[in-house]
Amino acid sequence: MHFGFRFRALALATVGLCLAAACGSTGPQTGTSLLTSYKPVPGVKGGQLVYSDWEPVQDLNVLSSTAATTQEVASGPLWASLWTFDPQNNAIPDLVSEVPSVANGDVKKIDDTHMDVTIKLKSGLKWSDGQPLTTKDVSFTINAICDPATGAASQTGWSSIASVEDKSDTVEVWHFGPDPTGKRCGLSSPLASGIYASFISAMGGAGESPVPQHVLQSVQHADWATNSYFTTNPTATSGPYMVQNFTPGPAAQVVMVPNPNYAAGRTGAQLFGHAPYLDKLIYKIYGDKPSQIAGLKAGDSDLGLDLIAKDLPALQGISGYTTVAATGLLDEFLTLNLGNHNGKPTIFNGDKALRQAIALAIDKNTINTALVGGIGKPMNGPFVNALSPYFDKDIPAWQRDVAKAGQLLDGDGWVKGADGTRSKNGVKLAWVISTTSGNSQRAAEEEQLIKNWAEIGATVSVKNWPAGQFFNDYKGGGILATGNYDMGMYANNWSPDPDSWCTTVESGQIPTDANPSGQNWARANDSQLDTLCQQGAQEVDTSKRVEIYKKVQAEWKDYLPTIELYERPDVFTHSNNFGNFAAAVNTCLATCNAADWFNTKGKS
Amino acid sequence: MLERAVEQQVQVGQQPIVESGYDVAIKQFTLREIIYRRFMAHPLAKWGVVGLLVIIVACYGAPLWHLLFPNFIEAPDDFNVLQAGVGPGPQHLFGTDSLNGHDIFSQVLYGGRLSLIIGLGSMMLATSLGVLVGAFSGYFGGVADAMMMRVTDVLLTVPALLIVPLAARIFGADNPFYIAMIFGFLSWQSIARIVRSQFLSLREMQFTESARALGVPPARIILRHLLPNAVGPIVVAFTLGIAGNIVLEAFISFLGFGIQPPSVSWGSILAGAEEYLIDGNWWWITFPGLMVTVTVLCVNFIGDGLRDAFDPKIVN
Amino acid sequence: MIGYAARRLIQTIPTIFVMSIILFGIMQAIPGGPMAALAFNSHQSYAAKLAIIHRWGLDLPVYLQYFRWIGAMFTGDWQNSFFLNQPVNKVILARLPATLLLMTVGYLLTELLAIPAGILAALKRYSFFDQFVTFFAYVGNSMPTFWLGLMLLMVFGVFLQILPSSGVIDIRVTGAPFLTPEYNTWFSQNPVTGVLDVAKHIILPATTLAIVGVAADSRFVRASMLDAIHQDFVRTARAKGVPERTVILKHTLRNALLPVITNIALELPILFSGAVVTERIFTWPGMGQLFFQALEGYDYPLMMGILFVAGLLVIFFNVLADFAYAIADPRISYA
Repeated sequence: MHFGFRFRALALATVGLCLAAACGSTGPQTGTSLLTSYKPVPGVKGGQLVYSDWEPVQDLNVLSSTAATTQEVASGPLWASLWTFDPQNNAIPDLVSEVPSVANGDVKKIDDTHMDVTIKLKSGLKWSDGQPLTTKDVSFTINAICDPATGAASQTGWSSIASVEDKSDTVEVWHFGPDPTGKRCGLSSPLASGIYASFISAMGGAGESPVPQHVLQSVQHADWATNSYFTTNPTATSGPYMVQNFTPGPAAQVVMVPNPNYAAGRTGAQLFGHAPYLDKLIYKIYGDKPSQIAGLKAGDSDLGLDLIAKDLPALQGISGYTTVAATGLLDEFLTLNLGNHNGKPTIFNGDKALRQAIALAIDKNTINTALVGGIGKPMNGPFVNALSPYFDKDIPAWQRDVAKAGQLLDGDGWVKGADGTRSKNGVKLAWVISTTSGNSQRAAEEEQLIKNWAEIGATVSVKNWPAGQFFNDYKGGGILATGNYDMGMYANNWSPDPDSWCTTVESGQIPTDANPSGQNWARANDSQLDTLCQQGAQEVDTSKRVEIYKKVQAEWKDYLPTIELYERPDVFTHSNNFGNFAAAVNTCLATCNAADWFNTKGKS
Repeated sequence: MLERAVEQQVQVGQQPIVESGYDVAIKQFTLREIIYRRFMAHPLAKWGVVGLLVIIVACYGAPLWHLLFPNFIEAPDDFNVLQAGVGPGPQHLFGTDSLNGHDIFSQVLYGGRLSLIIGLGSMMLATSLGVLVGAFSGYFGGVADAMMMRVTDVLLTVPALLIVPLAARIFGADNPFYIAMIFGFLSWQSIARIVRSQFLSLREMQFTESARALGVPPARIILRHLLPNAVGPIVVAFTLGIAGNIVLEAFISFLGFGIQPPSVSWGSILAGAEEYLIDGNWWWITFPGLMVTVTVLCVNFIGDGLRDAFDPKIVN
Repeated sequence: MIGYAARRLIQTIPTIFVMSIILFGIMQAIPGGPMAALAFNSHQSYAAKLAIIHRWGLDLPVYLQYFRWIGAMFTGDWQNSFFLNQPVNKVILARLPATLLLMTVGYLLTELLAIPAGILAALKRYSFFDQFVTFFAYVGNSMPTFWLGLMLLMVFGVFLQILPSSGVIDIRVTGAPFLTPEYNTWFSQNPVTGVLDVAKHIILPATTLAIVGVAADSRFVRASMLDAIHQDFVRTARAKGVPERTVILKHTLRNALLPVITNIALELPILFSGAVVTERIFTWPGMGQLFFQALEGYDYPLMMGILFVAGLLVIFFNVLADFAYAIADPRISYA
């Protein structure tokens, strides 16, 4: 019942982090045969389903909201994206007839700094109010996303587009190119190249859906956030369902009915080529987890989202229900402040041996077994297993080594004092760890870490912050963004392209007054990482990218701006009459396939 | 409080006591003795004192208990993850939590230290403020009185339950000292009212008038003559206020606006427990709450005993 | 009486004025000013924030800010909630009915139990029942309300699973959220199901309120009843040979209940606080729950709005108590 704005996928961040994200490689794909293992079964018409979360829903702002709960209803059920992502993080077409790729000719590299991407919408698409959904809506939306007044969650990728050319109602071309002025679409510095290899992951999926021009064209961008289209009553939606009514807050409820025009233009499509199955889809917020689980046990809810490993004991043995745990693109990690805190360099600043020793001392396996039910995956590098094909499988499994950590510290000049605490040149080996307050699981993790580090002679204390303050942006005085911390602990639901990881360590992304939206909260400044990351972003050949990102992982692991703890599993419980449930642990939040959801009992 | 207690006590002040030896004398009790006897005669107050003393010794002695019984009382930063979620038993009297396996009994003892000191500290501040405002208002009266009482009235209208978490939020109150300050600044109003009304009546009494006529300065009149006569109600309000603020601390920390892990208070233990209530380990949430209830019950017993003891209506 | 009522109402004006200054002062006390710490919103544009700063004059000197703000409050321009992106007065108005419903039911339940219990305890003084009432009062007064709520939630909502532990309605039954137009239509067609549905949800929160309320009130009723029994006219009536039943019902009870009625009115603010806590525990979609949500999200306009409304409510309850007192006690003349 801690209500609050805990962002389950904790990045408020934008650059391709969290929700702006997507899943899928830029590998070759054609319109007819899809590289997806997602195979929905044909559904039964009629009946209703209730799916639930326990954290509040404040609004339905598909473009701006970074709250996972909002996107759980906005992305999938209410708005369709150009393309979306299957549980294996492959891009699958939704509004488009094919996902752009080099192989199908939709992605063309013009020269070293320019590329063109052709978007082909399905023809005959309609909004729920019957108006046609065309490329005009898409370019209208791109314009809005690019205007900072709109407050869109992410401008990543969009800022690389120099111009959009509408060829017809269904075909438009995005001309990617450099921006010498550094002013386009919220950019804070000149953009040397428009090549942006990870556009697939940044521009599809949750939070990147077209919005209707005919409804919003008369509304100023600055007023979008308070317009009823985004707060309470989206009158024209593109997803399988539309809102019948919605009350926000910790006991929020969204009642949805089928979008009568969803099937228009979709017939024949391999995926999402049919009208929605349910008579009614209800999204219910319980306000606290015990109530949500009690609701699942009582059969009040057919699907529970936002559950974690610690809830497994309570979820076991609910008759007629299945519980699934899966890891994906979600991980829990420590960010070390490599810059200044309170005007002084932190002890991590410029001390790589110390960072490595700190990492070696952590008992990731015990944290995983004790607090993650043993179903998380301890990590030994920045990337997660699901980041295929970029994840380097040759990195050995995590091994704790306190002795080696001690040797590193001895060699680095950290001498143990009488009280057991080490110090170097009069500076004690002490720092403060910070995470979101009111989260007992994280508080417990902190306790374990402090115990681990005490073994190498470090004294660590705790200062936790409300999630709002912790993740606030640079202008709002966010703790992480402004560097007002020593060490931060949080989770991120990453985008399926490694470039989104890179943005958190590139020196150009350090937040400053001139660049307030920078994502490099660790203030990492490593020229090798910078170079490799830039190469990766501008390489369209997947196999070459794989090699580049292997080097990125090796350098990252050595430089250690962040220490990854474990891949965090998401837990889902659904009733056995919930048809076509797909446990996606990516930015799709398991709701991107809502069009295929059905009740196996039908009307019953 | 209990009428029965009152009835039994009415005569205490004049009871003849037979001194040992040959001479038989009627003992004249001092006021202090009368109050003490009345208090002790309250059927529950003395149990309240005993209970509270036990709790205080148990909580503040926790580090010592840890040294004496290291297997039974664990150190505050110690835990055993292999023992997570174990029910109450001889090893863990109140069971363990389901995260890191902290012994809840030990946590309750350590947590009591903050909860009790916040209750006491905040009421000490509140009493000082209340006496100051009330004495000033009551003694001087007039415009100053009217204004102060208006402000007091208004402060009573803004629900403390809303203001306290707000203040805690603003001042970043994961610091027990701040919490005590905030509670103190928000709970002086009733004491100010009590002191004022006492002073309003006392200042018209003859002894005050004569002191004033003799040229005794106001501060001295207030300190030497008025305040001692108003002590009874102040002590009662002080005691009951402690009870209220212990509960308030529990609530604020439970909401996550107060004491936070790794610091422990009774409220912060409950905050962790709430999330795992569904797991079936009822002990995590039950025992810390029971501890608050028992403590507050003891303090309330004492407060009631004091009220009876000081009640002027029963003075012979 | 009407003159008194008018005077009493006029008296509330300075109180409201002082309250508004205090609320304003609290917001100003925030280090760095209200917008610095509280303007967190992940999805409101910077331009929209500037608009609020301008409209509320947060860039003006403090005293001007106050007049700008109080003027806006009285003209109904309460601004948009940062998080809900909807007008604050609309949001509060939507939540008020749930709070009042919970308060009313909790209240009725309290008095229905407390008054008979108190009377019976007074009549059978020192009996087992009397002892029990006293014991119950002590424990009930000492228990943190939120913990009591949690215990009830755990036992009935989680372990026994016989009562719902959150919300006010079952969306599967109603098909629409509480008090939306669709809900109201549905309710008018299915009044019995609708009432039963809400009743099922209100049991736990209202019981929580009632247990705490009964603890306080039963003692008061008992004392008041004892007071009345020992009055001279009761003795006279008994001496005259009036049957005991009539003595109790006609003479004692009426006199005993006068102070009880005023006490009930005086307790309204306490009941409001209780409702705030209870709403938090049972995710009851009322004002208290909204407040904690606003607090957690640094929703400055929403917080100010709720505090303002809560203050007004309490002042209103106090006036009600005074009126009740004036009506109930014929000895006081309010010409």
